[in-house]
This record gives sequence, structure tokens and C-alpha cells, in this order.
Amino acid sequence: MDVVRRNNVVVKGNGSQVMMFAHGFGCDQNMWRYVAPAFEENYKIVLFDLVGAGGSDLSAFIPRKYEKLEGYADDIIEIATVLQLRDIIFVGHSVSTLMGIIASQKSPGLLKSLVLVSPSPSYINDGDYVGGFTKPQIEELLESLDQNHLGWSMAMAPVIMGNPDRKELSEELSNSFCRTDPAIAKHFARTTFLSDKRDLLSAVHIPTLILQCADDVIAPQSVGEYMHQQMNGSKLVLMKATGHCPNLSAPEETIDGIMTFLS
Amino acid sequence: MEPQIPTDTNDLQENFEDFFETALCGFIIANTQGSILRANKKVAEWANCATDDLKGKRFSDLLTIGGKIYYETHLWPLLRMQGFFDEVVLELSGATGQKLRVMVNALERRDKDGKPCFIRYTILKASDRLQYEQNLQEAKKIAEQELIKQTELVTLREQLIAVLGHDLRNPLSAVAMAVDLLTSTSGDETTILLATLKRSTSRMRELINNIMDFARTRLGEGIVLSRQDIALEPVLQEVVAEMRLIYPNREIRTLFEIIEPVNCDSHRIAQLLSNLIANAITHGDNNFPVNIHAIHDDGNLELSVCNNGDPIPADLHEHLFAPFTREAILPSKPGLGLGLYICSEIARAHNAKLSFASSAKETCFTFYMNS
Repeated sequence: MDVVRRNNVVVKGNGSQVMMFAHGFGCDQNMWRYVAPAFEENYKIVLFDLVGAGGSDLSAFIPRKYEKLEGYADDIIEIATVLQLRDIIFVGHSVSTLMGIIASQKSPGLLKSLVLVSPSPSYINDGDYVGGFTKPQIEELLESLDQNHLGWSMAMAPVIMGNPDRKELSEELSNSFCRTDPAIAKHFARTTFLSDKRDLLSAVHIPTLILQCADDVIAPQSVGEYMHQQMNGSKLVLMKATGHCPNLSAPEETIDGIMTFLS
Repeated sequence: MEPQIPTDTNDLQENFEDFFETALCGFIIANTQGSILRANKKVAEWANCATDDLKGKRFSDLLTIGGKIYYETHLWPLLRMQGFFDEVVLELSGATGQKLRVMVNALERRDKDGKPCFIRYTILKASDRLQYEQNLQEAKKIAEQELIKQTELVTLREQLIAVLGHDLRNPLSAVAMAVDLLTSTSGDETTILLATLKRSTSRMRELINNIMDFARTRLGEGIVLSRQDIALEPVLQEVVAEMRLIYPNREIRTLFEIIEPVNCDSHRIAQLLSNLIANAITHGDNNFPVNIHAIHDDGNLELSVCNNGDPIPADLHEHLFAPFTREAILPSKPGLGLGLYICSEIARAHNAKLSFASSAKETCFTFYMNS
């Protein structure tokens, strides 16, 4: 199988030290468009799309495989193997941070350090653990995906137009970035929001940076603090940036945070 | 400074503050981090709070849980990359828990260097529109189910026709054979009765064949040809001889100019001719002959069957080759209305054309096949 094509892998940059950037739920490698270029001068940059997202090969989306984050982690290991990458600095956003953690444990030596941007090991509150969502809230989310009455249907616009020859019409209708096949988005949402990888955290022994935003509705500060406490020797940076995507809303602060950690 | 909204409605002047605040759609201005700087009264009304209470919140705070996550993971990235998003359906979550479905457009206003300055959201109530959309979806689903049900029924019915036709053919063959046998051994007094029997069985056979062909074409098999180069004239002569035997009182004139072998399915061409002759005899004037003309020239075959009599009514022309088309004004004439349909299917299978011309002078059906 052509892993490079499957995951739409893009390699850039001048350095020999590898930095691999992984995107999370929603969107694709474009999530790193304001951050990755800052590292191109001194690093070898590897960008890719998770299968089911962006320019990945949608026919490679095997629901059973991607029911678990391990399926996605296996792809990361495969990409590294095919491109003969070792000692990678792994930069993950959102749910892909867990894929990085899984990959680091499945394949020791593959990853040298972890940069976790807006990570969360589990989204559902559980006893003292505040994940940010109650079980009924996550159920409501998954139900709203099932009914497809939110804007997820955006991806369907060209189909509804039924006029593939007239591309300009489809492009006018749909928003070109972050388009997702609704069925895949639904599947990925289930995998993402129902996973609980808290038990993996204490076994991480490579240097780790946690970038935590203020006012992040998906991964609240309590989650960043929990991870920091569970992961020995990790570094927690509380950012001024708000929301869940500092890589887009505060690229400079994100770049500074990563550079400080790497130096 | 607080916006000045005119309070004196007796002397209302057009005013942008008023436009912003009293619009029927919601307006929100947020900073580049997505934190609300100002929202209009409509938004506050939907969120069931005061406009000031919205300041400092994130846009996603107004949404239901599904919308919140969709916004933070898809729409916010889209807005940052593309500079806008539009026509996105989201649900506002009111303070009292009721949900309002809305259509949202957002624009990231950027300065001349492309640096984002602030974000503007326009929110339109869309619950009626979406309800309508949902009703359409429901109606479509019901129509699709109904269609599946009807298609199954039709298939079942056509299978029944095919089986029935097949089962009727065997006893009919037995009757026909008995008639032939009796014809060769009986005296004059029974000959007339036997001729009637022969005519009836032949007519029934024709009807059954047509029904079976109809069922076959409807069941998707179509008319399957077995083509070969064949001397066609004897085949046509045999059909004519049989028709003369069945209709001894009618004159059938022929003019055949076929020398070279013709590439076709001769059984099907015979069936076509037999149907066309029966048609001409049924609908033509008893006092005039039926004229059959076949020319094979340069590989092209033209076979026409003409009769005198009343022309085909104009309102039948359009659907003449459709199954079950009959002369409604003359219900006494026999036939299911399948004959011409089968003829046209036979022509189609041969990549040939079956056409007709009907006037007060005569009515002609012409089969034309290119080499």
C-alpha cells in the first residue's frame, strides 16, 4: 500500500531533525499552515492527513480499523517506517495527541519528544476527573451527528447540486477547507469523544510539552493540569490564546511555546 | 461609548445603530480570538439574556453541544483559513434549554496586510426552512418506499403474465394439432367449423406469444435475437399463406423483391409480419386488399403492410407503439394492444425503424432496416 498517498504525506524543510505534525478531529494538515513554516529552516517537516480527512485516500477508510485510536496510531508508525524516520519530534493537536502517545509506546524510539496542543485523554467527566463534558452531552453530540441536522451536511452540497460538470457552482456552495464526509465525521467523532486513554499517561517517559489554551470548551484547563500531573517530567504552558485551535488563532504564541521547549 | 438608539419613534431617521440593533437577524462582532465584543438585541432575545451578558463570551457558548464542537473543530479553523464561512446550519441553545435552528454566516475582517481585525457573524432564524427541508426528506423517503413496493408488485404481475402465457401455450398446441388432424380426415360438413377453430387457435397463439414477449421485455430480458443470413422470401410467403388460410375471405397481395440473403432473426421478422397483417385485417376495410411489399436492396430491407379504411385517429399517433394502446372508440375490435408494441420491440432489437403513415387513402406500417 502506498502510505504516502493514503495519508497525503507532505515532506518539507531543510533540517535533519524530523518534526511530524498531526491534526485532530475536523479539518486536515492545513491546521498547521501558520505554524509549520516557522520550523522549515531548521527541521525536516512531515505533514499528513488522517485517513478520512483532507486529501487522504477515502477508500482506505476502514471503519473497523479506525474505530480505535490505535488504528490511527498504526498509520503514524507506518508513515515513519516507510519514510525511515526515527527520533521524531511529534506535534499533535487535539485527539491526535493521543495517537502520538499510543505510537510512542507501541514503537519505542520512534518518537523523541511530544508536543501536545490542546490535548485531552478523555472528554467525559468521571468522578474527580473533569473532562469537560457529561456523558449525556457527548450522547447529544453523537445523536446530533446521527441526525445530521447541523452544518455537517455542508460536505453534501456538490451532491445536492447534482452537477459535477459545473464546478464553479459546487465551489460557490461549499466551503473549501475542512470539508468532511458526514459518515466519516460521525465515525471519527465517536472514536474521538468516547476514547479514554488516561491510563497511558503515566507510562510516557519522553520529554513532553502541553500547550493549554484559556477558555477551551473542548479541552478545559483542568484537563491540561491533569495530564501534566500524570505525566512525569512534562512541561505545561498555559497560553493566552483562547479556544481549541491556538495553531490557527495564535500561531506566534504556539510557535514560541514549541521553540522554547525545543531549545 | 454606548450606542445611541433613537427612542422617539415619531421622528425616525435612518440610522446605522438602529439598523444594527433592531434587525430581524442576529449580528455579532467578536475579536480575533472569537470573544464577543457586541451583539444585537435579536441575539440577546434568542439567548434569553441582556446584550451586555453576551460580552466576553465565545460565539460557541451560544450553541448546543453538537454545534459547539462542530464550531470549534470545523468552523473556527475554516474561518481562520478561508476568512469566512457561510450558510452553515447551527442550533442556538437558549438559556431555558429550548433550541433554535439558525443559519450562520461569518466573516473575518482583515486589514490591508491580511491581519485579522475582528469577526462579524450574521445569524438568521431558519427553523421553518429546516422544518420544510425535513418534511421534504420525509416525503422523499415515503415516496421511495412506495416506489419500491409498486416496483415489486409490477414485477410480480409481469412474472404472472409470463408464467400464465407459457402454461396456456401447451394445451393450445394440443388443440391446434387436433384441428390439423381432423382437417385431414373429416368431410366437407365439418370443414367450416374446423376453419373457425383453426382461426381461433391461431389468434390465441398470437396473443399468447405477444403477452410472453411483452412480459419478457418488461422483466428486462428484452427481445433476444438469433440473427443469421437467410433467404427471407420463403419465410414471408409462409406467413402470408398461413394468414390466407386463417382469413380466407380477405385478399392479401404481395410484391417481394428479395434476392440476396438477409441478415436477421427470421422467426422475429415472421412474427412482425404476422402481427402487421393481423392488424391490417382487423382495422382495414373488408372490401379492399391488404398490400405487402418487401424490397431488399443494397443490404437495406424495407417491409411494408398497407390497408385501406379509416385512418388511425390523430390522438392515438403519439402512443401507437406503447403497450396496451387500443382504439378506444372501437372497443369491439379484438386485441390487447400489444401487437404493435412487440413489432416495435422487434424492430428495435434489429436496430431497425418501424414507422407508419396514415391517411384517408391508406394506412401503411413500414419496417426499415439499414445494412
